[in-house]
Amino acid sequence: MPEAQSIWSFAVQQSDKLLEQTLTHIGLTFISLFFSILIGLPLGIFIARKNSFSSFVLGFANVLQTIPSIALLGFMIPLLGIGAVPAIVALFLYALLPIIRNTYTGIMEVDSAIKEAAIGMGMSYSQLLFKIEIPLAIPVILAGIRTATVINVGVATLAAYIGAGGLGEFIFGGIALNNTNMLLAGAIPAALLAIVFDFILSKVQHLNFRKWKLSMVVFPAIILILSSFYLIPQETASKLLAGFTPEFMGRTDGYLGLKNKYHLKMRTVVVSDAVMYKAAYEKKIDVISGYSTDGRLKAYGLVTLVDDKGIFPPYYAAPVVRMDVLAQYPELESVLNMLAGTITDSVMTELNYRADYLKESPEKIAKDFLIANNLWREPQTIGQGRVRIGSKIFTEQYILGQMYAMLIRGYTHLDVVNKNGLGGTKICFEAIQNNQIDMYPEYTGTGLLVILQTREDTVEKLSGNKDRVYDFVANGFKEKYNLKWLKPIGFNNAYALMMRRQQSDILHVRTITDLRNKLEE
Amino acid sequence: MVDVEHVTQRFGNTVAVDDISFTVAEGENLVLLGTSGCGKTTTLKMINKLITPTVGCVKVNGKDIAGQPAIQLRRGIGYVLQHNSLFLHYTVAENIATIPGLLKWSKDDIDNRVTELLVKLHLDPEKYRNSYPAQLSGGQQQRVNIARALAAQPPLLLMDEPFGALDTVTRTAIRKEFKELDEFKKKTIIMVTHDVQEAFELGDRICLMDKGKIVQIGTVRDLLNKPANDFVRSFLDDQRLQLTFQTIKLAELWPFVESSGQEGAMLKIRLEDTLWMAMQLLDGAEEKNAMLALTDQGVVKNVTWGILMQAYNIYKQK
Repeated sequence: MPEAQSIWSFAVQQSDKLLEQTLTHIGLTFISLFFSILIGLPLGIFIARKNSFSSFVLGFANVLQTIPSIALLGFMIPLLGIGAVPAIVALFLYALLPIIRNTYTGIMEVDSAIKEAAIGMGMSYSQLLFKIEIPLAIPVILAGIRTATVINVGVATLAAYIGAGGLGEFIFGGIALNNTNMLLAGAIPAALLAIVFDFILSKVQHLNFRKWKLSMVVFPAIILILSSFYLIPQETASKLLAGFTPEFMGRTDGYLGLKNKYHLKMRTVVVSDAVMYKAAYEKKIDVISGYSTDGRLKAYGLVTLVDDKGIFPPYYAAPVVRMDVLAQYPELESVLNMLAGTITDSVMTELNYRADYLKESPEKIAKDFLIANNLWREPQTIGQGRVRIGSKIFTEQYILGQMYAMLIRGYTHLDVVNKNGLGGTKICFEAIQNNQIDMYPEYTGTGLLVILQTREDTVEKLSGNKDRVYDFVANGFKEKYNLKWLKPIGFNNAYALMMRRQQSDILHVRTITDLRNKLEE
Repeated sequence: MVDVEHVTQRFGNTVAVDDISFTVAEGENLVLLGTSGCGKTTTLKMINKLITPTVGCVKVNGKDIAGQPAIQLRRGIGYVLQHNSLFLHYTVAENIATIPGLLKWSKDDIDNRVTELLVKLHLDPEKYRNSYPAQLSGGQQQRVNIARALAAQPPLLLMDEPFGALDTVTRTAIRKEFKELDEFKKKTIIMVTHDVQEAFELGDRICLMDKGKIVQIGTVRDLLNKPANDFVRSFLDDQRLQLTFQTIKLAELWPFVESSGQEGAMLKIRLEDTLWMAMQLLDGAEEKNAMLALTDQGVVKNVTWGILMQAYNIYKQK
């Protein structure tokens, strides 16, 4: 295992990226904040004047706020695709509520005696608004802007899921790669940004009225300057745009390998696995880092490019189980091995397709498959004991989790608890190590590179041979973590570069080398 | 200067002001007196169009205000509310300059006027010009508030409980200053208060209101000596003696006062001061044999408490 890298050395090594991500993050935060103020402030003033609209407008903004941020980003994809625009729109919607609400409250809370004095002295309604109400409401309005800024710094980390960049790239990459340094290199600057902006705005908020006159000019200028940060890190454009997951971006058997072995240079954006295939289908991006058994491959008419230099190691799936559980329930191992060798690549793709595209439930798909293979049995009566099955947060793992649950219920008297959707590798692996789950399906390549963090020369020696990789990983897990790899299920869910079939045909790109050559033309 | 003619104000089903009429002459101080909810503030606000009467008409300078633009009308009328109506984000100078600013006075004129008012209201211009209201005491704030209303030299001043939010001591002090101020002497003032004492001190005439109607309108003495009904009588009952003493000037007692032969510590008082003030002076004196020296055209009379009471008794019987 390579010597543990410190966060500092990681940050220094990746300083270019860190700076770029930080600037992008600040830019995203403030562009959206700028538009929120532009819209929210007048809207707040409007509803303070026309009170009958207030409950409607505030209610609407409130509803927006309750939408989970990741879901809101998800809504944006069909409307606006991926990249900066949907991220900014989502952040803009989030920042609206605090700004509208505080503008409204600030104006409504201006002492009625003061308003009456102003009117009584002969001010017009617009003079009342601009000379009296808004200036007096400014501390409250600023508090709203402050809240919105902190919310936006936080939510902007999720922008990395839809290809808008920002510190989320490191955070989600770190989670996916089990790389704490990478995670912290994203999380710490993000937290610092939130703290720093909060502090600065609290200072501005408590300025006295005299200094306010100056800051009325300076403050919008600063927001605009910070907004422009988003434009700085733009790289030179290539013809084709690649959308890679945060995990793929940081892996030697991913983007790093593509750069080293294929010398592939292309414009990339970071996107989440959840939106990647659809974005490729909708021509928002051209090349993606998919999984070779993903059902969406079929659904969206994509083809995999041949890995002619063999940089993607095999990813054969097999259940990983705690040794103590296997010892406690000796009947378990043979039951779990019943799936071994039954699911080929094309079968798995088909099963995934049924879930992703035909929207069948994982339970139904699992049950149909077991019945078709004469493995299905009615659940037995439950006796002593319980097995907790974990799965990562993607379709294939849900289906496998269901199959194992059905087999255990059918062939043993053990109770089963499914803990689905445990995020990425890191979370699943932490869970099994800390005795939160007893088993989950893992992939040999992931075990080799992400969990065992095997040195490059050793990986080289295994040279992509599926059996040798399996043996290496199984031994490593047994010795280091007291976990057992059961027999492989059959399919190889390796990384693959994918393109739209039509584009691949037009450009005559079949292999990754073809792609490189095309890009260099 | 101000004519209120058969004015009624309804808010939904409630009648806040019910067919009232009165006239205020130029230079007169009229006090609208009554308990809360009697309609006095509503009446005041109908004069600067903050509220439009349901029925009836209000004339300022003989012209019906219904036909005048509200903003111009208001800029020509001073309006004073309780002291927390200052603009918190404006300095003292900026607060005072509000209406002159709206009227587009030149910067020099505004500056001079601000300084002049601050001096008149006993606020050191150098010290307080650039202070914010929050840095001032309640009494100082109210001085600024009054200065703000006076800034553009409006001939008519409307005041809504102007001293209402102050403590009794500050209130009495400011009231006294206010009475002495030359700016006020020529002005027509309509003031709302619930404080009988204040009304008697500041009003040339008092308009006592109850349930939206005028119960009695007249001079201080009219209300005390010729109350229109039991309501007026009972309204003043609590403080009747003090009010009576306050309405009597020493000049009126002069014929009935006999000089005491004795010598004592002499306290100075003027003939235009009230009996009440004389009593307060005597009561507050530290010397045992304190006496007042009343002087009229060279004649001096030395007066003790006993002599004063005697004179009052004779005066009352006449």
